[in-house]
Amino acid sequence: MDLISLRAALFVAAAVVLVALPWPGPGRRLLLLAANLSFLWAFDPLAPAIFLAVSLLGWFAARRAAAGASVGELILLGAPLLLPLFLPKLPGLGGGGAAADAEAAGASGVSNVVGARMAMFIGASYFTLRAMHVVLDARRHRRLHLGLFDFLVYNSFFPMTVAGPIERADHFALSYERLGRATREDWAAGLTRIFQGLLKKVVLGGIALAWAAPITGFGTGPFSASSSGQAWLALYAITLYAYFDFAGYSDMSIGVARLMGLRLAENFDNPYLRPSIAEFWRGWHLSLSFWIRDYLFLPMCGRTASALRPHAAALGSMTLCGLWHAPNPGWVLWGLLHGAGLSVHQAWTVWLRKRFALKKKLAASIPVRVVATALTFHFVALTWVFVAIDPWRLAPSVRYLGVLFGLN
Amino acid sequence: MSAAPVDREPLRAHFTALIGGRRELLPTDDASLVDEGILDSFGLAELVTLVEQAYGVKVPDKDLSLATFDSIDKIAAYVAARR
Repeated sequence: MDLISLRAALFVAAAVVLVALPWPGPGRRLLLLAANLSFLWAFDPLAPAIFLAVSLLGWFAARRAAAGASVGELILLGAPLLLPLFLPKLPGLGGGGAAADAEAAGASGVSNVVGARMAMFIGASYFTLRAMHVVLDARRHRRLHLGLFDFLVYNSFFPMTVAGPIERADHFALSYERLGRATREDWAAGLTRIFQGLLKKVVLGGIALAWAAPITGFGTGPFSASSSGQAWLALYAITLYAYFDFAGYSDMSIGVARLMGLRLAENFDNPYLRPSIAEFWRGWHLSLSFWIRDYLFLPMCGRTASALRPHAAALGSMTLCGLWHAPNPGWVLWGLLHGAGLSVHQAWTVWLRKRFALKKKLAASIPVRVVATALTFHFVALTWVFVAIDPWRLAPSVRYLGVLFGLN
Repeated sequence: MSAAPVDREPLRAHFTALIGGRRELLPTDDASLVDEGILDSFGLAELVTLVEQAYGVKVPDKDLSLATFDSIDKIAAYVAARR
């Protein structure tokens, strides 16, 4: 199903109206679960079966975790959850390189940034991470926030299917009682967010995508970048496209949920206007950022007085973040670069913190913040090069960097 | 009988060391260490290790968040509650 289509709009409208009807007992939740599974099925007839397998396994593991199961048992139970994360993204199983990605997503080149993941295996990356979150959370807090039926509704909730967010179960549960009871305020806020999302995804994203042709078609397309200026312009365009497309989708997710009375957590907060890479991750794909911090980075840090271990944890967790996007060289390097960026920024922070008066002075300086924001934006933009052209091969990206810096 | 007050000196010494030993620049006990740029995710593991060793309390994974340790007051209250 094309997300920006009359069919998708009718589906959303029907679901919102039906959920708002006065259903007896669990009828409303049952209807929403049926709608969620239909949405999955519309993308791939196999998706509901995979979803149910992952979710039932996740739910069972979460119950065992809440009951105090050993780490070994949870690893045995949880290991199969990793399969839907990676198998569909491997060559021959739906993730067959840039050409296949582009064909699957119906767009060339740039599909590697955002679109291909959706087409490759609809929602698996997200419903699997949500299931893992519920298991890990149950182990920490020895409790479950949702019963099995409501967990299935939560994990398959159709506005979150294609590109998240990786909404936390405890946050979802906060407004779940209001399902189907949207107020006039909810309607106004929901429709506004959907409009904002469409504006970002369709209009601004569409314009940016058109300007990004010299990078998305680099080496193959008719508009391949041949000068440094053209290459920089295309890089800015693909960087903005990644934001408009993804943040626009998040806006629509939040807006549609709001029309049903539910409040999803925010997923973006001006990421390109942040003065450091650490700050960038406090504004970009927040639900994934928090997942990585809480379930990868902090456990990897453990209990340590070692100053080096958090740096290793940053590199390790961000590399895994890259692998989550797709197990190919481009995304792994993207993750490594972000991990290295966080590590270097931290070393700088520690140095500056020891000169605390200077740190406060710099933090208050508008020119310094402008320069820092520009540097951060360019660092993030340059990391997109490795996934925007062909993430399965690094050579074209390296050639593109050569064009950017006039070394071709 | 009230519990013994938590000695905050190890905490103040830790954060003073982080800002180059300038005790006079250390914010007040109720100030947000995150907002002041003194505590972040990278420093959380080291702080938790200090709390566990200096005060003999166990910090479970569920409490590993910046919000829990965002000020000297909050850390002292947490330690008092865990004892």
